[in-house]
Amino acid sequence: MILTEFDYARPAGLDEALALLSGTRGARILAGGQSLLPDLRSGADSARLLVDIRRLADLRGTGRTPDGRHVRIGALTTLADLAADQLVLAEAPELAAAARSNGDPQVRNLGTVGGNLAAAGRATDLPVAAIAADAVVELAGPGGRTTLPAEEFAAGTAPAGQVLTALLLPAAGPAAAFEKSADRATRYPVCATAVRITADGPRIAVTGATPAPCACAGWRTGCAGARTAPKPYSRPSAPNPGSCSSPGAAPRPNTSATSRESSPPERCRGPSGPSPDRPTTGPARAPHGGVE
Amino acid sequence: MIAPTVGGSFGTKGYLYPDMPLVLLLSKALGRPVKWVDTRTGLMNSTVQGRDHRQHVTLAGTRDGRITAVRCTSYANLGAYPSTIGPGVATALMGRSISGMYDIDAAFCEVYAAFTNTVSLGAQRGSGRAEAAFLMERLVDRYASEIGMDPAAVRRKNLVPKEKFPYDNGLGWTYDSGNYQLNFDKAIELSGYADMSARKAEARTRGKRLGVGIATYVAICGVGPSTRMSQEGMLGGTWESANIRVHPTGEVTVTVGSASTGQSHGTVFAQVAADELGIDPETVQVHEGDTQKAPYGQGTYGSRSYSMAAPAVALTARKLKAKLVRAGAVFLGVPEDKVVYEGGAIHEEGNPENTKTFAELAMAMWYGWGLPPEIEPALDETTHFDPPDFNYPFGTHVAVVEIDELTGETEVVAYTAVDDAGNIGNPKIVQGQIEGSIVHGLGQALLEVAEYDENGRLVSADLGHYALPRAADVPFFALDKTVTPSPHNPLGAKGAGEIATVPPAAAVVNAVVDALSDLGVRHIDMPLTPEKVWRRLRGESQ
Repeated sequence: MILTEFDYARPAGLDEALALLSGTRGARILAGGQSLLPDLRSGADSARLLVDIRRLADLRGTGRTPDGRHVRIGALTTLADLAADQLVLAEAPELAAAARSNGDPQVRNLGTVGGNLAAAGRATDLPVAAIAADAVVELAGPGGRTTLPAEEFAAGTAPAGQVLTALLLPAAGPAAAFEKSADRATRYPVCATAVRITADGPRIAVTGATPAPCACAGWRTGCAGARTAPKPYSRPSAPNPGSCSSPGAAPRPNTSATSRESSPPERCRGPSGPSPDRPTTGPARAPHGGVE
Repeated sequence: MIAPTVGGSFGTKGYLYPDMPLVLLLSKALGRPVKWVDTRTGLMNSTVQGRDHRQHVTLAGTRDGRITAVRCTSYANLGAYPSTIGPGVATALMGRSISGMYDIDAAFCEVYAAFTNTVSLGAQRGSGRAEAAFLMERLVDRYASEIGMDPAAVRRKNLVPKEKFPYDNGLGWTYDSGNYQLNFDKAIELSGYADMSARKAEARTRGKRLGVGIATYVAICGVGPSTRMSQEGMLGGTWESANIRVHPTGEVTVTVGSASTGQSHGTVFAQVAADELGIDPETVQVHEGDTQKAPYGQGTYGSRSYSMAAPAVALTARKLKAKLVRAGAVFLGVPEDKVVYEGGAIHEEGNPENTKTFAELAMAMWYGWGLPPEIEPALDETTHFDPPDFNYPFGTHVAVVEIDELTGETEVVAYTAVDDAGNIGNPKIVQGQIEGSIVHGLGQALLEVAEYDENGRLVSADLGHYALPRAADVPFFALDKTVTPSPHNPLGAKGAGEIATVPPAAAVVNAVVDALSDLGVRHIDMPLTPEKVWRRLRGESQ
């Protein structure tokens, strides 16, 4: 049961959606609802307006970009469709595997690519695969369309009031993989790793074991660069160096008795350099402007 | 009281919880209906929790594998308040069960109950017996390793011989019947135990450590003989009841005093009545859960319905049959000893033409015409069944696990269960109960734990923080059974619903310790999370 009152709008076009988002305080994007609705029920979020973008058919489906070198995935594509998409299976198999591993069939049938990327604070599975693939997200805002590297988007650097419209990945062929050790209660990654072999060498990204999904430092020379002096893994109360450069980042316990959101938002050193802290609580997620 | 369809109890719903009298009190005070709705987190903080012993045990045995004595001192956490039956679960049910399938000359157990600030302790599927089996089966593995014998050989050597039944286990239980050797050998063979060395070597080539663990058990069920239960401190009868009413059409209504929490009473009791009366089960309806209409009963818990309520149904049907034979003599015009009841009809012995169907008899009895004064009209009988003693199902389970050497993740790759619940009513239903029970036990071994923080707050208070096993977490099970009828009820039945929850935790921990034994690992406390196993793989102590 959702105890707070809110308005509901179902815009027919992107411009209308953007107008609603920028014109209303407490506006939230509703797509698959797999993060937003539980937050509304639990009281973690109190939206004033739900902007249901599910009628924006342009945001659904996959295809190649005109130059043929990228795969474009519409933000409203469901995880189930993504996991079974022939183009994605051929050109971004790590992303398809991440989609297949995320949640359960009900979540995958409703959850969307955009929502999954925007809900990175919940340790979803797509961001790490997108980061390893050197993907960018396409954002539509009042000022037009922009792109942002997936890792920066996962770090929460996108300005508010935007709609995530698509994920763009370089086509890779089969030289990519995704593996996850899942929390047995939530199926969130205790550690998930995505690897993509590129002409420059392997790109590796990690999530779960790190406070935010991030590319391994030194991936250009192979990930060993990030692991030259790993300290031993320590209990959750103590700092966990892992492959992340930030001190004081707590690892997630196996059955996440401490929720991820309680960890201090630390950043990993990634190829894009330091990024600001990522907002991690429910209401603060909305400024991502991502599809929820 | 009317209890409509109630979801699974698994031990936790046979309690007087504080909200129950509160709702009644409020309803009386307000003069209006009152409804109680709880949240998942509220329920996690109030529903009884299970297990939670600190057990200190010593086992004595000879160098050639004969167990001579076992002594246990256990401290049981009752939580903040004693629940309806928590103290009995922690003490008698656990303590009297520790010797399991083994013939041990000197067995002793004492349990101290402790009050703490946790949620109250109560019954959880397999309660008491699972704690006992875990203790004994871990201990047997330790003993086997100490004397350098195969754990299967040690177990085989100590099983209660079948000629010793009824067997007094020296701790307060008298096992009714059993053929433990047959059961044990069947499980060991079915599990492919002899090939495990080759499988271990093959697993190592894949970066996995394979381990095999055995657990046997005896699980007292059939609560119960009322007088015996009073000696355990039960304040009240523990018999069970059934009424059968035959309608003039020949249709039958069975009304039982117990109420289902998912045990398929409607199917099983109809089958029992139909089998006894020789009629089509489709013509039998089962009613329960309304105290205004049902005979007094004691409830469904402790795997008791099929060995307590079903016998009441069977005995009631037999009363009806006997009455139909007496009345049939009148209707057929022959002496009573010439009346044959067969296939849902009566006929004159040697003259099958002189016959009356069940429906004809039902109508005739409803009219009551021509009956002698000693035969009452109508067909409506009730039985209250109180058995002479408990019944003791048993079994042998074998778990095979593979541990990922990199991540410490434990996967149960094979699971064999050979259980003996005496004569079984509906094999499909029992198979479902066995499968569910094993999954439940695997959850205890690998996933489930009530975690409290330093302030005593329950942090595993929702399903995002309390891991339950799912279908993908378990393998397909290899299931078989042996059948040793109980002498203590007319169906030869033993409890079934929870029994297979008793051994899996011990079997899985035995298997994991087996897989890590060359690292010097002797024990790991449940649940066997990847982190705990990973640390042991790296030589850290517990």
